[in-house]
Amino acid sequence: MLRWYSKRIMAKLTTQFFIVGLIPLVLLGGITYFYSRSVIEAKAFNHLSAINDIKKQQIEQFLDSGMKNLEALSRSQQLQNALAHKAYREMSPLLQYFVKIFDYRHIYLLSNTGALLHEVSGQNNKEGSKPGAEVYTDALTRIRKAVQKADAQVMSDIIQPENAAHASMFMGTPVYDNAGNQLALLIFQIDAAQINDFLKGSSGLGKTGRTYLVGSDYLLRSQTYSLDKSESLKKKIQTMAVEQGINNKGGTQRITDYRNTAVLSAYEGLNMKERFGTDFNWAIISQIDASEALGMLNRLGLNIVWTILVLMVLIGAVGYFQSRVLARPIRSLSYHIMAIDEGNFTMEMPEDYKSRGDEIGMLVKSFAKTAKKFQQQIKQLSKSTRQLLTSTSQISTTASQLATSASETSSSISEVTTTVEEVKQTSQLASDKAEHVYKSSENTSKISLAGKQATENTTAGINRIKEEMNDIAESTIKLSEQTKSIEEIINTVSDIADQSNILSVNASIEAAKAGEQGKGFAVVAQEVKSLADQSKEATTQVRAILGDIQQATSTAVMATERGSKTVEEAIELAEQSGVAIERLERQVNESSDSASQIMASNQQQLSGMDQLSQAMESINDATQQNLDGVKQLEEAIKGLEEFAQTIREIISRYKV
Amino acid sequence: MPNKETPQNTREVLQSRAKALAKPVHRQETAEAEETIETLTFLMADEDFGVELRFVRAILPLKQLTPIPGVPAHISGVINVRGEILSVMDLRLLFELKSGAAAASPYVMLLSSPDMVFGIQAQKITGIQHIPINTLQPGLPTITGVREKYLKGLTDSGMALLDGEKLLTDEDLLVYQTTD
Repeated sequence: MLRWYSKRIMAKLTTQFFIVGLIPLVLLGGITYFYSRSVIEAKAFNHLSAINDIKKQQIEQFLDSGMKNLEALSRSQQLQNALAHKAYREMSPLLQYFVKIFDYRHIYLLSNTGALLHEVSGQNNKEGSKPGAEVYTDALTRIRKAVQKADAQVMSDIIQPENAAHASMFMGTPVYDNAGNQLALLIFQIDAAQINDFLKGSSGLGKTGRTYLVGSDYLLRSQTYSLDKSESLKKKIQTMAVEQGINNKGGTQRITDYRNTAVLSAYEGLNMKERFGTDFNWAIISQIDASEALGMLNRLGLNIVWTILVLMVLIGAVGYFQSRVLARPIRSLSYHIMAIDEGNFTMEMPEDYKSRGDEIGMLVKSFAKTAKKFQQQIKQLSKSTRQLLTSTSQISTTASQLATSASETSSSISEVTTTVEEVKQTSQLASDKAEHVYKSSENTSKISLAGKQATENTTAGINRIKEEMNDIAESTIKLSEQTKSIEEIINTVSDIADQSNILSVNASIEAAKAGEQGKGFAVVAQEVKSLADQSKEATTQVRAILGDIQQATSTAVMATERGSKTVEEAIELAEQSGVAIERLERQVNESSDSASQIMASNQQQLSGMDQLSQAMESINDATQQNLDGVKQLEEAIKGLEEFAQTIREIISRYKV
Repeated sequence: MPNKETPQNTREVLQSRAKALAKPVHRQETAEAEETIETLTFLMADEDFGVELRFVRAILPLKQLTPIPGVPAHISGVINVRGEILSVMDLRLLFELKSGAAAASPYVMLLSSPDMVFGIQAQKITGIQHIPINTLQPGLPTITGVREKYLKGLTDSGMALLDGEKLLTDEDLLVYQTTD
């Protein structure tokens, strides 16, 4: 089975190498082939149309220059003078010169009725011994009629009468004198070989490249490489390219030509009708055999196929050897592993695999190292298992001790829980007291507020008293002033009394002077004096009383002053008491705050105690779990001992 | 004030006054039997003096006293009494009594005889007394000089009775000098 797998790896790898190599090669080859083909074809077409265009322009220029020469000659004064004087012989040098320079076959001068007035022939173009006019009679008549009909320059198609050796084309024009009278007709005969010269030769086109002209009747107007000279004007070529060209449409196309051969063809019309006013048209066609143009492409394809085949053989060989190098050590490694599986560590890997520098070598080396390590570890494991057995018995002892201590912890926890409960009750009591303090301090705060109000009222009352005192002081001062005016009055009265006294004394004196008659008057005077004395006495009494009043008023003033001082002191005291009450209020508020804080902290303490109680319960649970755990541990240790025994048995199976 | 002023009190006061006024008149009538000298009594430098009423023409408050230059010190000045220019004397200087503001002399007594009229300054006019002649004592031996010259006698109450006649007639008191 293992052999089959190893073979399979080799087959797989070889096949994959083959496929992976083949796909890009084929793709690359194909793409190169098809791309090259399109490029070469496009290049060939471009080349063909360029050559076709050049040749077309050459022909057009040739025809154009012919027509212009005709016109120039027809308008020359010399010709007109010669015609006017019928001295046709005089024309010969000029016409000879034209024929020589432009290599025309013949130049004819015809009268209006068709009679030949004069003929000049080229040196090498004589139709045997006959003059041209005899050979081309029909052609000349046709062109004369066409000129006369159009009354302008006319060009004919290439023709070859039965008796003519060469194909020619004709150009004709009427000749006028200065008065505008038609004097004669001037006709050029041009050899078709001159046009054929432009098309001859395959330079730039390769072996099979040709250019040819075809007329409106699909008959060939020039020679082609595969046709004889005589085929001109006889071979009918009716291809798609010709039809397009005659209709003045240019382009390139891959077609089958008159020889049934595949060719690349470029075609164009000469547009004769518009340029030269003719009733016919020519198409110019350049072509090359597809086999020649694309021959290089076939060679390229063959080369590509050969290269691919050689490369595939190479790739297959490399794939086979590489997979073999990989698969062999892997097979050896598998045998080794199978041996280890059966408990045999004594096998050794071949040295040539170990000494390899690549990944396989590393794998084999590391595997050998791992196997050795594994062997040592099994030895150690055997030793460790023995130690494990000893340790488990020790652990068993420790676990029973642990169980005892856990039960002790449990009883301690229940004591702590009781204590926590007591603390909780105490803090509840403290909280109640704090609440009581808080309430009573609130009451005190209210009372102190009332006290503050009362103090303020007192201050206001005392202020009123102060005002009253001030009024009293003012009144007393006024009274004092008034006693002064009373004193003045008393002084006046005293003065009056004094004067009365003097008056009475004087009266007495007068009475004494009167003697006996004045005695009664003396009595009256005495009376008046005594009244004055009494008045004086009364004034002294009043003055004494007034003095008493003044003393009393000054006492009153002093008393009011003292009173106002006392009132001020009272105000101060009232203010002090107000301040004291405020302070009291603040203190009360502070104590109220403190009480509420105490309440809050007590509440927190209570919740803390609750949490503590819960925690204690959790600890209790945990301790219980510990106890259970210890029991489980004891069981587990038993399991462990059994496990160690099992390991010992397993290890004893290995050959180390 | 010890008592309040009520109609009853007023009546009582008036009654007591009436009694007081009634008495001296009665006593004066009883004393009329003896020979008396009608005397004007006055105070001068707090001392009691008297002068016979018959030499006294009038008593006036001292007003507009015009000092006179170049006269003896006891001549205070002159006053105008109803168009009559009279000289005024200050007897305190003559009798060598204390003088000053404490014992001002706001009154003037006009003494007159048919030949002479002048004024004497007085501190206070105390009244008119009828002095029995028998009670009048001569001047004390200690009183000499000017005092003795113008003193008529002393009463038992210690009042000095001035001799008006001598005062009016004494040439020493007159001022009749011309300035050089």
